[in-house]
Amino acid sequence: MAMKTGAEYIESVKSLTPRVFVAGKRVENMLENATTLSVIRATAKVYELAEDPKYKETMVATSHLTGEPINRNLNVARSNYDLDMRAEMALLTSQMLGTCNYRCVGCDTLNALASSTWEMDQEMGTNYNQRLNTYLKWAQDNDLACSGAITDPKGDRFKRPSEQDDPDMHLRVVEKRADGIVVRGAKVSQSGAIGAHETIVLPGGALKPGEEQFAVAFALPNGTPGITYICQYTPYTAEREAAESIEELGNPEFGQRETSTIVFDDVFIPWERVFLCGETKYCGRLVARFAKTHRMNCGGACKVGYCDLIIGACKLASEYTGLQKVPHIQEKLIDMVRISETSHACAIAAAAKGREEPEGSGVYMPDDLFGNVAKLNIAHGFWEIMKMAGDIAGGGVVTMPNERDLNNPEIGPYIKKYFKSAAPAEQRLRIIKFIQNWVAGLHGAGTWHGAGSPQAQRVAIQFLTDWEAKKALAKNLAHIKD
Amino acid sequence: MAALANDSLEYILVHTPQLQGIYAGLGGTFATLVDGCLRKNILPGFYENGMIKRAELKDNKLVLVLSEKKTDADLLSLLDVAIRNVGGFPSQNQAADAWMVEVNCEIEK
Repeated sequence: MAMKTGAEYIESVKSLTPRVFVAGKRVENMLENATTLSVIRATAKVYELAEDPKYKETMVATSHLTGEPINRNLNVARSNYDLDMRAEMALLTSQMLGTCNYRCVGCDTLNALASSTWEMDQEMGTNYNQRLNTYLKWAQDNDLACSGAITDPKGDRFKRPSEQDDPDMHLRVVEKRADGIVVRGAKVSQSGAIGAHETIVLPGGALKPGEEQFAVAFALPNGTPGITYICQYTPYTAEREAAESIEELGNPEFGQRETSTIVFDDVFIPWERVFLCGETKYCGRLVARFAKTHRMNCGGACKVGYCDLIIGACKLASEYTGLQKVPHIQEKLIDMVRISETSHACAIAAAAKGREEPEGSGVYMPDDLFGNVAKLNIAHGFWEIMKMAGDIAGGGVVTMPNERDLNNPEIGPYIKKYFKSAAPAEQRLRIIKFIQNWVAGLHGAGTWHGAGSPQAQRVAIQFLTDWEAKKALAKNLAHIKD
Repeated sequence: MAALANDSLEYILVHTPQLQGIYAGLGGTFATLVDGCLRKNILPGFYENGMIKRAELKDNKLVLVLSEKKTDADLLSLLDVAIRNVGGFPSQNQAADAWMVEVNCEIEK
């Protein structure tokens, strides 16, 4: 079966009716709700990019299971080149969407599972890898949009999953049957699951013996009975709902980043879709493999694409206001590029230094240290870039009137007169609104926490850095003897 | 390359009194449909209570009686939505050992 076009993807989700809520109301038709529509538009755009010959190298890979061309979002990296192209895809989709590639997390969960299921089969004689490959081939054949779900609600953070007053604070298996398992719990902050065909679920972190009920990884169709999606609701959701035209919005077509809480109310998962069940020993490694992959892509590529958009918008804003030759503006723009490209370089390094993991599996994982540094660097750098963007764009970024004012015959002439500078008011307001979407939007905290909060990267960097080797180098040159 | 993955698709044949449709899905698709109808008493993709008047599994056949009077086209359309929501797609192929869904509606008195 050929890859889907954007139009075919939209057609395919028309017949899906997942149980979705926005602001306490059930969404009956996802193509008619402003928020859910923005997710579907963004996902359709990811399909369209794969159709475009200009982006084929980045967006299309060759399946190692069938030899057929597939959307790279369903590819398992089998080389350093694959890793590099995976990161390039994250860069491209961010540049083209200004929001999530909602298939991104699904891609990284599939890669982590490809590595860990192979390892489990080798060590324990299970058949998880065969199951995963069968699932993956089916997903590739039908070019399915897969989202990923990892983060549990977690309850009291000082308590282990098995110590919680309510055991459902971490998604768990409540029943094992001959034909499958029944799971209960929730996953939070799941980007774009509502527009996907499938969701790939991983455990939320490392687990210990005695916590087997929480050790579970599986895939499920998004309309499976018992699943409910409760969407985030932000001022940007309200703004989109209230807009008379999407042209009033900062990212008209694709919106801010939309997530949901997914509730699993005793959901049945057939064994054919279960890729880990009870093997606590492998959960930490599985999640770490997801994290290193996602940190390379999220930190060193996806957010770099966002920075490209912000930097471009700031350059335009400076030209529209006649400030393009002011030295401190130029300096800030250069600093923005410095921060952004440093993270980008880390992603390129993570891909170049990546290796087969585990050896013999054929699955390539990025270099852990560079991936973590990419993410930690951009977590801090993104705020810096937004600070400078707010500076360059000026106070108008939070005080500007609405596009509807511009179009109002009574007050429109005032707006045109007083917001004109080196460019017409229409252009100036449009670019300021675009910058507002970033600097007063959701992406700062989103970048901070997405792919794991910075403290998670610090812990990883602490563990991955060879401090003794660095000390030995210093002692050698300083002539310090033990 | 193909040895890395099984072709473990399963087929679901849907019968209304007059019409039929064929669907293909990954192994476990029929089991998910059956679980929704029997354990949760909902037709996947539909969330109102009382839509299923009777659901029964007889060997490889799911027998469904849906509420109110419906045309054959309506019944097939409802099952189309239900099966797509659990990961099945319309298919041109038909395997000899297909699962079956026999769907009818409650007759108005």
